[in-house]
Amino acid sequence: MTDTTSPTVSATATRFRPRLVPRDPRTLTRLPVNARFMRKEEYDRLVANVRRDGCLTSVPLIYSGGEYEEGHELILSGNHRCDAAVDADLDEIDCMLIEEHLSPQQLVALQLSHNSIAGEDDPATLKHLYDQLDDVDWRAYSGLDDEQLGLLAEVQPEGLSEANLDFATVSLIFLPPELEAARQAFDDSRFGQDESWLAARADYEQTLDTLASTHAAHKVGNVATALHIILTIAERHLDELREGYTAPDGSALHTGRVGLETVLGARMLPATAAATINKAIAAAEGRGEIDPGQGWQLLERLTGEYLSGPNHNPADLR
Amino acid sequence: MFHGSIPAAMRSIVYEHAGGWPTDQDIYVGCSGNFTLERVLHARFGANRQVHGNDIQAYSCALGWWLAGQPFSFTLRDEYEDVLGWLRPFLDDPTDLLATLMLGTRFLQWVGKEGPYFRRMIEATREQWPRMHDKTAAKLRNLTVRLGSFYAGDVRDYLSTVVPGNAPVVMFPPFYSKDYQAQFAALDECFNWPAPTFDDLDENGKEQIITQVRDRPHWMLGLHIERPELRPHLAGVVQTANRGLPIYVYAASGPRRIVRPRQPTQPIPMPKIGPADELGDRMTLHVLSGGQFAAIRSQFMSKTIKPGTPLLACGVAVDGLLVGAFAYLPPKFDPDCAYLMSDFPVSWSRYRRLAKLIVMAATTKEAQLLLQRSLSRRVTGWSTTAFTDNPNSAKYGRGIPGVRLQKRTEPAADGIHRYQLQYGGPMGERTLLEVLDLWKRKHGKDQR
Repeated sequence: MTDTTSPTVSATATRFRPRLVPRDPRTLTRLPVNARFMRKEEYDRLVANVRRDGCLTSVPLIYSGGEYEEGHELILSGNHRCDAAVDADLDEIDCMLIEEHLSPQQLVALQLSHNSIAGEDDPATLKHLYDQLDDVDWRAYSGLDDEQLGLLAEVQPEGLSEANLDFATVSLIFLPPELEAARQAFDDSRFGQDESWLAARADYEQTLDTLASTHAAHKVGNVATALHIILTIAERHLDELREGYTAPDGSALHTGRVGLETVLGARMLPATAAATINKAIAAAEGRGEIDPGQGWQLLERLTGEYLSGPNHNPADLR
Repeated sequence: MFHGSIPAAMRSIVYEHAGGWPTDQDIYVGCSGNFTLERVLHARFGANRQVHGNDIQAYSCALGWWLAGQPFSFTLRDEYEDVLGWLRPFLDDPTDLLATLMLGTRFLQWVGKEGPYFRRMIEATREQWPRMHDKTAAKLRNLTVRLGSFYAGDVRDYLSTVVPGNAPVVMFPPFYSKDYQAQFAALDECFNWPAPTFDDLDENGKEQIITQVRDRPHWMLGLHIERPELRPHLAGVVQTANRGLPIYVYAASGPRRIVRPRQPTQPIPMPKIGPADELGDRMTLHVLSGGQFAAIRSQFMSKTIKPGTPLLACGVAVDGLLVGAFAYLPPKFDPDCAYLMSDFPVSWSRYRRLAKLIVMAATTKEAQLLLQRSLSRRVTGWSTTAFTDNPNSAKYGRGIPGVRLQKRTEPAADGIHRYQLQYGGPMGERTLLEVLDLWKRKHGKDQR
């Protein structure tokens, strides 16, 4: 019976017998494509260790195979160690040299196996060994640290800080004119605490330009403050919003509701005038001449009479 | 708001060391700052152990006096009556006063400054004052940490006249933080208070402090500079970010600890251009997470450059193959000009000048849109710094539309290269499609 799961050696794979050779790390050929990388902090540690030792303590594997000249062999494993040796000013390092010709697949397999067949650490034993390093420099040399190994004491001191200013976040989201996407985004935005305002993508450039002009004019860097200034200017020009509902001949462009401030051009009016208007509205409501809570009907009636005389019928203008 | 806090790892080291000090003695802290050390010691010992503090700054003195239950006096200066008179009801009770001073570290800096931003911040503070003050005062009233005493004055006098010779001392003196005094200048400006007198801390003064601290059986000292003569006492090194200054912790005895920076990395699930791959015709930008940018930066960027934290990082792909990445910082001096902090290609491609394509991609209309989205404002230019041994940069030097050498400095500030070159150019004049086409015509034929 044949065991089909037992490993087999490819007929094309070559066995080899590397030998130890001294090489200048500057002239060796680096792997053109390497999946292995080192974070800056890890690499700096490696350089520091090599500089401290004055040598590499693990040996790079290099390959000539009749394809690379002596001193310029390909580094199959140990590319970062060779770079670190250069940065640590080493002129010579020991390498394991494979001289036999290997297939391209075997070379890649060797490269990958050196990085992937690396074993694992038992955390408890790792901590136990690390704890034997009673010197900060040796701990650093190990490439580990106390935080990473969870060896620092857990401390939760009482907090001491001031209260923050409350503020609301408003996101301006610019969309291309896909109505469905806009609806969806608007629905989604309701689930968040902060507000989102949708605007047309076509308005994006104009918004940025307006913000830029405002930043420059008021010499403010803060975007919210610039937006506040833009809104203040819009407030000052409320009456210009009537272009949205009034045709050139003075007729209404739609039957929805509009802000009273866009009619009067101001949100404020003198308190004495307001008191007089309030009295008149209350009287008109009391006499049933206008609907309760619809004070604008009195204003419409009075302005209509101003334009058409006492026989004015508001319905004629609607 | 207190800047210059002690990192969490440092707190752990202090906590651990304090456990080894004699239990029958009070602990003395110098240069208390935000009283972090005192709070750490309180977390360890509770009310069972007296801890004493010391400082010279207005904020720290007010807090120290309050924590020690000592009377303290801060009165509003007459010249600020008009603009800050509304604080009066919050200046009598000690806890109310302290809450006012703590909040003052946030908003007093805006007082008297012209401009809509400062006006709005002051108005908002005044409007929300009752809530903010209540919340801060309540937090103070719930605080359980207390001091045995507080000494307002020069730490050298404190060590020589107040701290007993055999008592444990711990301090992280702000020897190298220049803005330490500036951050509380507004409190001094607006309030009269019995500020202690002290001498400027020159190098001799620092040496004196180190000597005074070491002259005791139990001590801990945190410094931003390594002191070779203290090497036998090195109890820890804490550095939490590659660009952050390490803190060297020296102590009379106790455990040894180190904390090193460690960038979190994440893979980018996109294939990279291979040595045999031809560049296609559709270039795209892909916003990267911090971890993804840290990974690709670790793989392809020079190890001589310390990693920073970008505002916006993007991968550059052509026909679905990643060809490089770039990252921007917010504008530094000119608000319309973003700072290109990193740009690098996938190093093993067959194209020698791929690096120029990444720079060109970083300055396109599409990159401009992403930057403007991040900043909510116009960005019309970019600038960057190159460190090289040549008087011109091969990457930025030629063949990139609009790029100009703005400044050449010799020697470079990195201490490695001969030249430091400042390049910059316009942003958003071409699309990704246009720059890819331009790059192919100008640089695409230069192959390995």
